[in-house]
Amino acid sequence: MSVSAPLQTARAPVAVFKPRRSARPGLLVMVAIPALNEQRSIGNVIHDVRFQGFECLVVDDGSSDATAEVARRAGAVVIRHLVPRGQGAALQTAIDWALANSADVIVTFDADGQHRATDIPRLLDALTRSDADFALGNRFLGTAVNLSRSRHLLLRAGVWFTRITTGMDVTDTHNGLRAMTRRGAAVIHLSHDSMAHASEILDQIAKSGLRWVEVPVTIDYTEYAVAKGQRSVAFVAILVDLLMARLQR
Amino acid sequence: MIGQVVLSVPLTAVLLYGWLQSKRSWVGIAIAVVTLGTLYFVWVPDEAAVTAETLQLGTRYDLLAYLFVGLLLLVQLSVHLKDRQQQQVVTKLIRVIAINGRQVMSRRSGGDEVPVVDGELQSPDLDGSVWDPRRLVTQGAGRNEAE
Repeated sequence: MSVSAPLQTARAPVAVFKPRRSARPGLLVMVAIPALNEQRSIGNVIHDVRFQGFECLVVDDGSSDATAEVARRAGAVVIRHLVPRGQGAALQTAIDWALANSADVIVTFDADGQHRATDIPRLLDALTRSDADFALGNRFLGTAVNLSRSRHLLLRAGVWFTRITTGMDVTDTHNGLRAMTRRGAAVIHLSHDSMAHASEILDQIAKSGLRWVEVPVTIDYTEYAVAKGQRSVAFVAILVDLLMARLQR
Repeated sequence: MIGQVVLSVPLTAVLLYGWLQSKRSWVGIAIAVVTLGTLYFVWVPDEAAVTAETLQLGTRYDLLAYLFVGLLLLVQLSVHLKDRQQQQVVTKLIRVIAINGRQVMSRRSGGDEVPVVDGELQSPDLDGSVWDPRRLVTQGAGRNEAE
């Protein structure tokens, strides 16, 4: 599907967005932000995204702080999980809701401030230019500010793992900044609630046969983002999770 | 003989568990197969000795120990996979509650559209607060107490 010619689908009898202004007239772009206890950063993240002219959909994954309230006050649509279920679960909730509310493009965005809203137009341009259904943010083609050497090595190992398991010739993996068309989002059905969902998304993209493209983006590894982000040992948990999913079949 | 009977009782239970699970998962089949093999070696010790020697696993007791450990791991894997399935069901439930709750709030706040005032997107939530599914739990608990 071309981004400039979105699929016409039956409108769900629920919320219909009427953005005040849109960076892409005629195209409903929804920026999905899964958040867990991000009251400190979520306000600024939403402000930056809305400043670019995009609507924010925050899925509060059962935060115990004021994340949802801060997000609502910042102008985002907020959906709350009853209890924390993980980033993957929150992302799938966002995708389901966005599809039910006629979103043409869904952008996934982290709540900890490591992504830059100015990269979103680049992702959308890449979708349009390449007639692709997925635009995957790539920090190695772009910039990774304050990326530690150990994480760099782990991410490189992740890239090779993804290449072997999916056959996709990607050069970055586990990057939460990505855009997908409506058709692309419809093939994503995340069963991994935890961080392994990032690998699962790539796996499902590969199986869908839909076109994808990598886009240079900037990732800021701020002190806050590093503290909130996953530890290096989490990669072991991700590998175990992926293995268990295969055994479950 | 007594020892063989004592070992056979839990093994039969595990065999039954594996058979029941075999309809859902390949792990159940594996459990059933390994359990049958273990039962065989428990009741035919001579064959166990020959097999242990062939596989260079020491004595027949070593072979049985390996089989019991293997069975334990398979049962643990089966339980883990069942738990994983349950967790996925819980996530789906949480998602339905979150999305449907949000939709109900939107409808109550004025039909099928999010209220728009002066072109500004407004929160469709009742009384200006965020839809919080935890209210359902609180309200439900309150009702029960009243009853």
